[in-house]
Amino acid sequence: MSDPILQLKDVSTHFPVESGFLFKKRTGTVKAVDGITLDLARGEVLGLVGESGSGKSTLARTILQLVPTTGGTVVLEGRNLTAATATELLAARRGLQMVFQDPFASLNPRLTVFAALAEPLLVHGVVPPDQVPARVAALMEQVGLAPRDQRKYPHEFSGGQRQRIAIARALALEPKIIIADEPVSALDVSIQAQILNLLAGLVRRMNLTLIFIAHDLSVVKHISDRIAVMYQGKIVELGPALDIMERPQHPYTKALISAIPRIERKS
Amino acid sequence: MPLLEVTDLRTSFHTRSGIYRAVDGVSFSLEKGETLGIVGESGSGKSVTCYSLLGLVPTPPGRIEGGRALFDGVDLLHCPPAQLRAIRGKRIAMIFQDPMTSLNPYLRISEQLIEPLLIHDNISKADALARGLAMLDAVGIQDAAQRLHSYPHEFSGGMRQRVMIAMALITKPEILIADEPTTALDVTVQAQILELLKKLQRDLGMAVIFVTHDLAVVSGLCDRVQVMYAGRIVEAAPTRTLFQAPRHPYTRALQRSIPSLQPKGRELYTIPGMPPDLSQPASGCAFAPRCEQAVAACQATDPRLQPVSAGQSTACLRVQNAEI
Ligand SMILES: Nc1ncnc2c1ncn2[C@@H]1O[C@H](COP(=O)(O)OP(=O)(O)OP(=O)(O)O)[C@@H](O)[C@H]1O
Ligand SMILES: Nc1ncnc2c1ncn2[C@@H]1O[C@H](COP(=O)(O)OP(=O)(O)OP(=O)(O)O)[C@@H](O)[C@H]1O
Ligand SMILES: [Mg+2]
Ligand SMILES: [Mg+2]
Repeated sequence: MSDPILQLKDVSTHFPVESGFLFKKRTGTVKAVDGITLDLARGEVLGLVGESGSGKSTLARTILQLVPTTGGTVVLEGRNLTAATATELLAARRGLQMVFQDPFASLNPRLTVFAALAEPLLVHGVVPPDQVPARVAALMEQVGLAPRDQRKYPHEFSGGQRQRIAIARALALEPKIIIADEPVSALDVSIQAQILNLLAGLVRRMNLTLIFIAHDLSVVKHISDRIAVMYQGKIVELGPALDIMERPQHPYTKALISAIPRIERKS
Repeated sequence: MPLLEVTDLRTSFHTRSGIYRAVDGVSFSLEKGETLGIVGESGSGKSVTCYSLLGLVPTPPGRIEGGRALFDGVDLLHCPPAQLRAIRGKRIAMIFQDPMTSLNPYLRISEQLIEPLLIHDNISKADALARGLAMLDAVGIQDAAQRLHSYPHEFSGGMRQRVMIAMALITKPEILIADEPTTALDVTVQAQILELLKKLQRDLGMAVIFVTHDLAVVSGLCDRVQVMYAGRIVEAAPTRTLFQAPRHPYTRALQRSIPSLQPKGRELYTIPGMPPDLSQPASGCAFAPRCEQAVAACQATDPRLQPVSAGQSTACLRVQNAEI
C-alpha cells in the first residue's frame, strides 16, 4: 500500500478476568484483540464484522488509544500513537472520530443538541463563531434531524434520533478517519440508507477514511471496499467486499452469510 | 377475549417548546401466544407506546392523555402503581432498546439478573443464581459461570443486550415487550435468540410485541405487523400480506428502502423529506408531504385506519377510495 493513513502492527489488547465476590482472583484473560496487523489506505472504507464479543469495539477503542494496549503499535499518518504523549493523542484524535455503539452513554445528558454540536466547532475553531448556528443546522439536516429540535436534550429523542446526534457530532470536526461502531443498526431502513449515502458521499468528496463496524453483512457490503471478519480477537478473513460476500472462505464467515435473515414473502 | 387490548392510546410530552403528540390514538390487540411486530419511522412512537403500557413514561414531561389498555381485566393505564409494579417484570416483561442505560453500571451482572426473581418469586438466592446461570447459557453467553459476576462495562454491546433478554425472560412472562432486542447482535446470535423466543412461546404460550427496524426478522418471526408513522398506526396486516401486498404508500416506500435488497455501488433509495413536527396541529395525512401518491384531498382530510382487505387495515384515503 503506497500511502497508508493507518497501520496496525501486531496489536493486542487483553483484559484480566476476575471472579469471587470479596476476594478478587485473576482467573483468566480475555484476549479481546489478539495480534492484529492491518493497513488502511487514505479514502478506503473497511467493513469490520464478526461475532458478538469478537473484539470489534475493543479494536476501535485500541486504535483511539482509549484502552491500554497490551502490545503492538498503532501508527496514524506516520505517528506512533502507542508511544504518544497525552497532548499528542489529543491532537491526533481531532482527525480521528468515533461513533460509539451506545449513543446514549456517549452523549452528555446535560447538553442540548445545539451545545453538543457547537462545542467541538468552537473549541477547534472549525468555523468562525457567527457561522456556528448555520453549521449546526446543516449538520443536523445531513443526518435527517430537524434543526427545529436543536434546543432539545438527548433524553427527549428516540433511540434512532440519538444515534444520529452521535453521527453528526463525529462529522462536526471534519475528521480524516471515522470509526463508526454499529452506526445504523438502531435506525429504520430509510434512514439507514440515508446515512450510508451520506458516509459514501463524504468518502468520495472529502477522501474520508472509514472503518464501519456492523454485524449485518448485507449492509456492510454496500459501503465497504474491503471487509475484515473478526473471530475471537483475530482477523480470520480479509478481502474485497464482493469476494467475501460471494466466496467466503472461513467457516465463520460462511455461517454469518447463511444466517442473514431474508424477507419471507411466502410460507 | 384478547390477552391485551389497547384502545385509542394517546401519550404526549409537554416541553418548553410545545406539546409533542408522540402517540396519537393507537389501538391494537394481542392474543395469547401471538407475536405482533411494530415497525416504522424512527421517532414515530414505537418505544413510547411500549413505555405507556408499563407506566414507564417519565411524568412530567410525559402524560398519558387518554385510552385504555386492558390486560386480564386490569386497565394498565389507570390502575394503582402498586398493582402495575406487581404485573411489570413478572407477567409482562420488557427488553429495552438501550442496554447500557437500563443496566446499573455499579452492580454485577449476577445481582441484576436475579433481581426480578428475588422480588417476584419466593426463591432462595442460590436457586435464583442457578436459574440466572441457566438463562445466561440459553442466550448464548460463553463461560457464563465464569462471567456471571462481571460488571456491565466488562461485557460487549451484544453481550449486554443478551443479559437484558435473560433478565426479561427469567420470570417466564405472559407478555414480552421487546424493543429492538437484537440490534446489537450478529446474525448467528440473533438466530439463536429468535429460536429461544419461539421455543418459549411454544412451551409457555408467551405473547410477544416485537419492535424492530429489521423487516427480515419481522417477516420470519411475527404473525401480524403494524406500521407506525408520526404517532399513528398507518397499516396493520398479517405478516405475509404486509410483505406481499403492502398498500400504504409509507409501507411501500419503507420496503423499497431496505439497503440489503438494493444493488451495491449505486445511491440507495431513501424516502425524501422529513417527518412532521409532532408539536404542530396536524391537518390531513401526516405522510402526505413526503408521499409520491398524495393528492389535494390528502392534505385536507385526516385518514383513519380502516379495513381494506381480509385482516388488513390501511390509513390512506386513496387506498380506501380504491384509487391506488
Ligand atoms: N473493560 C473490559 N474489561 C473486561 N473485559 C472486557 C472489557 N471490554 C471488553 N471486554 C471483553 O472483550 C471481549 C470483546 O469485547 P468487544 O466489546 O470488543 O466485542 P464486540 O466485537 O464489539 O462485540 P459486540 O458485537 O457484542 O459489540 C468480550 O469478551 C468482552 O467481554
Ligand atoms: N422524554 C421526552 N421528551 C420529549 N419528547 C420525547 C421524549 N421521549 C420521546 N420523545 C419524542 O417522542 C417521539 C416518539 O419517540 P419514540 O422513542 O417512541 O420513537 P421510536 O418510534 O421508538 O423511534 P426509534 O426507532 O428511533 O427508537 C419522538 O419524536 C421523540 O422525540
Ligand atoms: Mg461492540
Ligand atoms: Mg425506540
